[in-house]
Amino acid sequence: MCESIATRTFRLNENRQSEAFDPGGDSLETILEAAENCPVSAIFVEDAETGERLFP
Amino acid sequence: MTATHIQDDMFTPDVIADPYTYYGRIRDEDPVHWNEKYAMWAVTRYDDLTWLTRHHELFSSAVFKNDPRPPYPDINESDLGLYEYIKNYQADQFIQHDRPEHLEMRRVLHGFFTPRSMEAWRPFVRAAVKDLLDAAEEKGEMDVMRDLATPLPVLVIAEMMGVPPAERQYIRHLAEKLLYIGRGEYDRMKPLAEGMRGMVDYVSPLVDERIVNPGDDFISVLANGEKKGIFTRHEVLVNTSLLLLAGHETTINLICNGALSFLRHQDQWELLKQDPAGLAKPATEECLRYDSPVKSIQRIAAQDVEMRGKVLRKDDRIRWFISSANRDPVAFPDPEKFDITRHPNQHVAFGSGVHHCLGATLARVEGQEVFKALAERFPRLQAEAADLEYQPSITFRSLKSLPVTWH
Repeated sequence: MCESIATRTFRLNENRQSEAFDPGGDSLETILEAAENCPVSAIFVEDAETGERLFP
Repeated sequence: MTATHIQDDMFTPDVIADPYTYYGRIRDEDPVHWNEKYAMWAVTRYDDLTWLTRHHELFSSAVFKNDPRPPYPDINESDLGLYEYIKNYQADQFIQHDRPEHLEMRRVLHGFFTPRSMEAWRPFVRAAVKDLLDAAEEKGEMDVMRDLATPLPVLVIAEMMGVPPAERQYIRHLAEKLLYIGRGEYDRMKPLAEGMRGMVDYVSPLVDERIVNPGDDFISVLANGEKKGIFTRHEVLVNTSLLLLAGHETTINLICNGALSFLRHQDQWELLKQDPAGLAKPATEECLRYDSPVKSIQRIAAQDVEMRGKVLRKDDRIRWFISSANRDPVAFPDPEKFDITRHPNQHVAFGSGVHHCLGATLARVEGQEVFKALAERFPRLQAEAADLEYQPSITFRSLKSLPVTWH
């Protein structure tokens, strides 16, 4: 799911599981949308500089 | 593959009563099994199930649109016209779509169902469970199915739909007809079509109203999808009905099957009672794994594909079996053991991949609140009947009733 929304941040590995290959690949808005849409709630978003939890 | 013969009638009383022995045997002996009787593939192993769901381009979810054959099991020949109506209706469900449409449709709905938004419903669920258990306590007896598991999801869904309390009974009445979708009776098309027409008639004016006057209910969310041009009106109606049904029977089954698992495993019931609040979460996961609400899900091969040395041809019918995958010894140590402290517990009760259950968090909240409240309030809970019956369905694992006592 996330690799279809935040296409420059997530991709599928050889087992078809998502991985974040470029944490800053998309805008924060797009990354948050990907995180919210994750069917298994597997995405956590933090500010890399401050460590602040942005999602969930 | 061994020489032993696997009988292919999935509706025999012993298979309905105990799917685990039957599908477990297929998993062990012929994991990707061609079922002659229904002309479909049964996929039964955990690894195959997750592989299949992650390769959604090979296995279409648009089962109704892509399958020109008559339904299985057979129906009355005179009902084939009704089946056409039912097919067209079902085909508009967002879960019956592949990419790119599926992603677009699911994104309209997802905001409503995020874990955070669903957590906000916990106090409502807790209060509803309390009211239902108060009533049962006063009466001094309870059928978990009739008095708790059935009314709870209707209360929650009706509230989410923004339906007035007086009309909940009618919603339940329609849902009962819609449930024939997973059944095997020859004459199931008639009630099914009645349920569908009833939903369309009931929801249509609500959608008209929400388009003009949107609220925070999920009919408004769907109506907004129509405004944006993502859903047609028919799709709005069908998907409202889908959300009603999907959150309904499945939750009933989670509650009844979970309660029964505790009644049959006193040691785990004792354990839960020691710390109901702390164990409600892992206990609900184990209930979901051990006696899953949904037994199987359909797909249709989008192209020729090989699995475990078998060639599945384009347009072949496929069913993947949650009931056997969740007891696959490769994925779960001691899989036949009901263990509420099991960790990790990566069960596939909600499916996996891009079609993973949208309502999973809501189901979890409802299960957790029910098992916690039962353990706190009815420590001496016992099953009243020894032999329990299940609905003849290959899709749902549904008890017909579950009478209990606590004296």
